[in-house]
Amino acid sequence: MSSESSKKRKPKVIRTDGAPAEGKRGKGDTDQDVRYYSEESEVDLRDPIKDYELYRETCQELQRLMAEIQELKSRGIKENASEIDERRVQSCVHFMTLKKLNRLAHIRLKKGRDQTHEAKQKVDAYHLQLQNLLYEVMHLQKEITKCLEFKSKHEEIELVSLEEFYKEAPPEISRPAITLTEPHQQTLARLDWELEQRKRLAEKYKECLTSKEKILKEIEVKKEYLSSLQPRLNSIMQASLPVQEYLFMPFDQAHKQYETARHLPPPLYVLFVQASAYGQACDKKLVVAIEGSVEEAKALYKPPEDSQAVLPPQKRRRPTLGVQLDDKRKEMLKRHPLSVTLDLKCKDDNVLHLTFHYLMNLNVMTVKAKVTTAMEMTTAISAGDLLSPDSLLNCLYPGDHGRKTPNPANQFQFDKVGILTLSDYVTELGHPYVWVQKLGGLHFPKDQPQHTVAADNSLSASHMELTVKLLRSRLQSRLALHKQFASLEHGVVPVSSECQQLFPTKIVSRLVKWTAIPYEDYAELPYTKDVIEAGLAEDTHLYYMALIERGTAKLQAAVVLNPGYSTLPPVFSLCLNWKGERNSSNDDNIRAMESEVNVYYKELWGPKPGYQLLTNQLQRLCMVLDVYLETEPHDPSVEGPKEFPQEKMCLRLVRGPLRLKPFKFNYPQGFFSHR
Amino acid sequence: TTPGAPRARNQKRKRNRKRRHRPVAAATIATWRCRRRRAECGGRGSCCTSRCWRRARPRAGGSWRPPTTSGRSPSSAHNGPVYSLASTERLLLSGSDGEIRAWSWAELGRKGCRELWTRRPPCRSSLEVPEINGLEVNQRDHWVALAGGDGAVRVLDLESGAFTHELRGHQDLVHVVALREQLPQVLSGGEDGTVRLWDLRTGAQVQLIEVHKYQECSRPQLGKWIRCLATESDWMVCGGGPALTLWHLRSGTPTTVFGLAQPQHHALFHQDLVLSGGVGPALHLLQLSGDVRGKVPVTPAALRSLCLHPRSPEHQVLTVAGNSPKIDVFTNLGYRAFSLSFT
Repeated sequence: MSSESSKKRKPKVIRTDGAPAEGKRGKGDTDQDVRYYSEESEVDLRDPIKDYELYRETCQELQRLMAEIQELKSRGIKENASEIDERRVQSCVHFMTLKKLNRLAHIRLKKGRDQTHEAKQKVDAYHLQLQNLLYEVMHLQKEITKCLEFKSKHEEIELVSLEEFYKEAPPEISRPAITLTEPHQQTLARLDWELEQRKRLAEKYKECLTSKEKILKEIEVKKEYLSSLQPRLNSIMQASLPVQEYLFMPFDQAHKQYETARHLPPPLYVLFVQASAYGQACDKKLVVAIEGSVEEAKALYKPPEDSQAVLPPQKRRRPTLGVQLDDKRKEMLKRHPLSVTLDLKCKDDNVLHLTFHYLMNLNVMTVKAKVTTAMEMTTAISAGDLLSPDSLLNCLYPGDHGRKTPNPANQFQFDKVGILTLSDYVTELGHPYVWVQKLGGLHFPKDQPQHTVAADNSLSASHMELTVKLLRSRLQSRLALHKQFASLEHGVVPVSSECQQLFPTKIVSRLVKWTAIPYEDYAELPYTKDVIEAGLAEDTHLYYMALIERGTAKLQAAVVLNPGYSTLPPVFSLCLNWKGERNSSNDDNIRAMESEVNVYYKELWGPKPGYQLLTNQLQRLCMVLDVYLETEPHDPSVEGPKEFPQEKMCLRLVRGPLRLKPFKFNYPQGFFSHR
Repeated sequence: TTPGAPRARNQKRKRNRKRRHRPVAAATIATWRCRRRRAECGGRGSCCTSRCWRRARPRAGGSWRPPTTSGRSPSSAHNGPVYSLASTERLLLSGSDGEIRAWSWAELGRKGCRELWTRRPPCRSSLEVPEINGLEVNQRDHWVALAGGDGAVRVLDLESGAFTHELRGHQDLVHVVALREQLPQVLSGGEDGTVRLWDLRTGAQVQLIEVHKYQECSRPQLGKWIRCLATESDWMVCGGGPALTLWHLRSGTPTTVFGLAQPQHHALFHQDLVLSGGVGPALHLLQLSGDVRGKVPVTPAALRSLCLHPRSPEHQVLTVAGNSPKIDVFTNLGYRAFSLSFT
């Protein structure tokens, strides 16, 4: 019975002693907590090993008893009943011992577990503490690093350098005694100084802002004042008109001209502006004016509203093709109604009138020239071409003959209406020289046509001075030539007093004829081939023939005059008819004579503008012809004295392998020598 | 064989100084450098070198590779015109107004080339400085004979630089000198119409030929001046105002008169021919018997100077120059091969 109860109650740990074992069943679970086993106190006192021995003995006893019981029971139940009971009682006692031992073991175990548990608890607590501490350490380290990395805002402020700081800051801020030693104090001091400076500057900034506002306001006020001035000035001008007229100061006239100028097309406008500016600044003798009808100019820009006239209701005949083409041509070559005139006055009161027109559809400018002389000039026959308006301005710049339109795009326009070249129309339209385009600021690139070429002020300005100078010198040279030709036709070579020293006092050869010849005649002469081959004679040049005679000797000189006289010298080709025809190809001395006038022309320019070059050259020709004829060796086969006795003083008659004659005149000694 | 260092001479050509500033002068003198063929042309105070031909191996037909025909590096050689040129192996000599200058062939083409030396023959008056009309170099003994405008023939020793002889006798300027090969003798022809033979050992005049006094060749209407002179062994050809004549020197008599109407300016002996050029655009090939073998047209209107390359038997090259800015080159004496011109 007790073994069954012990088996039932095995899971319950807390037990008391075996004595109140029967009471266990009756008590129930409620008393379990209060129950106290005596073994709990005994367990500390008893030795576990001895208990183990006891247990083994008890088990052995039990086994022995059971075996005896067994044996007795097998012999028969009657005899041994008391022995069996006895043994039964003994085994019950042994069972009690076993129970006690079991209890002891359980309690021992429980105690052991409790101890372990306690220890474990302690260890856990320590572990937890350790973790906490480690965690805290880490946290603190992080904090420390954060603190160390902390950048204070003050480092972002740019401070003045140390030297400057010590120089500029007042001593109560900089406190050099302390700050030099302690960096923290130094930084603080610097920050202080920085703050103070910034405060000061902020104040200044505010002040400046206010003053700026004030000034702006003042400007506004003055602007209003000025704008109110304009109508008053107008009224004053109106009032001053009669005074202007009285005093001959045509400011108003200039003003009117500027008004008209606004209607000019851009190239003419550029020309007008640049020319008036140049005239006012540098050249008082240049007068600019605008001619033409302003209403027509204004009408150009108005859309043709009512201009489509009411067509006659009868049958309309279409104009013939030729007339149509003619109309188209006229349309293409139309000129702008306004034109600019430039009057260049020279020192001797001769005036060159230039009229500039603008061809609207072709975008080129043309010029017409006219000369009015101060006094009536006797026109020499040969001088007919000199001042003709057609050729007066030819080749002002080299190669600028004005026969072709300078705008390459015009060629396409011409093809459409069947115009071959602009040169057919130059008599009425004027010449489209390149310098005219440049004065109007039109710059055409050489080869490719550009669609829009706008008038450019700077181009015009850069060419104005040079062109005006060239125009003046061209006019003056032509006039000078005009006068000289008049004299040459009478057989007199005019030599001014400054140039007398270039020639001896007595020259016997005389100029008998001076005529102008056409280019074709010049080209046919046999002795001018070299000049033509060298490209020095073109059809834009002027050609003349001079005849110099002495006795039976006749010297023909063909002259080609470049339009750029006298910067570009005229070229002479000589042919001497005296005992045979001699020219440069068969006589070295004729060649030397040609070189005297063609190559050494710089000596013959004379005083500054050099317009006397031609006459000096002619005079020199007479002189060298004299020398040539007089130094000819006497031919003993011919009877009689020499036709030309030697009167010129020469050092040597023949020099050099070419056997040249002495053509160079030496002043003041008056003898001839070789070059 | 042709005597000495041959040279050709041209006339200066007048050119108008255009804006484009083309060179004023055309060639005056062309000379060959003995070994390397370079034509050197002198002009009015300037010397231009036209590029030499490399000695290309001639192809089967014996034709030359055409050289660059441009003149190169004109530099101002003298202050006055260059009247005469002569050449040695190393040097180019140029004669001008009263001075003779030497240039090194090696440096001639380069920029800034300066002359090696200058010699001025003594002149009597400062008013008129005599020009040097002709130069002839004796290659073997290294001296050069100068034909002076004051009528004196001088000899300049190239090694010492001193004027060793001054031969006076001409009444007027001396136009041309010629050297005899075997003997140390110099022939000179001048404006006074005489040809004189000088012996350099004694320094005296050995023979005098007054050309204009001989009826066969004198042409008084043209003058008596002797402009061209050439000599070979015992023979001499001279001309100018008088007609071009072949003389026998020892006897001093004219043997053949060549019938050329115009005065001749330069004559050369070549193999068995006499080449001459003068007024008229033609080069005359004359046989010693007096027949005109050929008359070759040339570019210049008048010839001044002929120049044969001195020693090349297989390649015949002749250059002529005259009143023209072009120099004609002949590889075959029958026709003009091409012309050199200045750029």
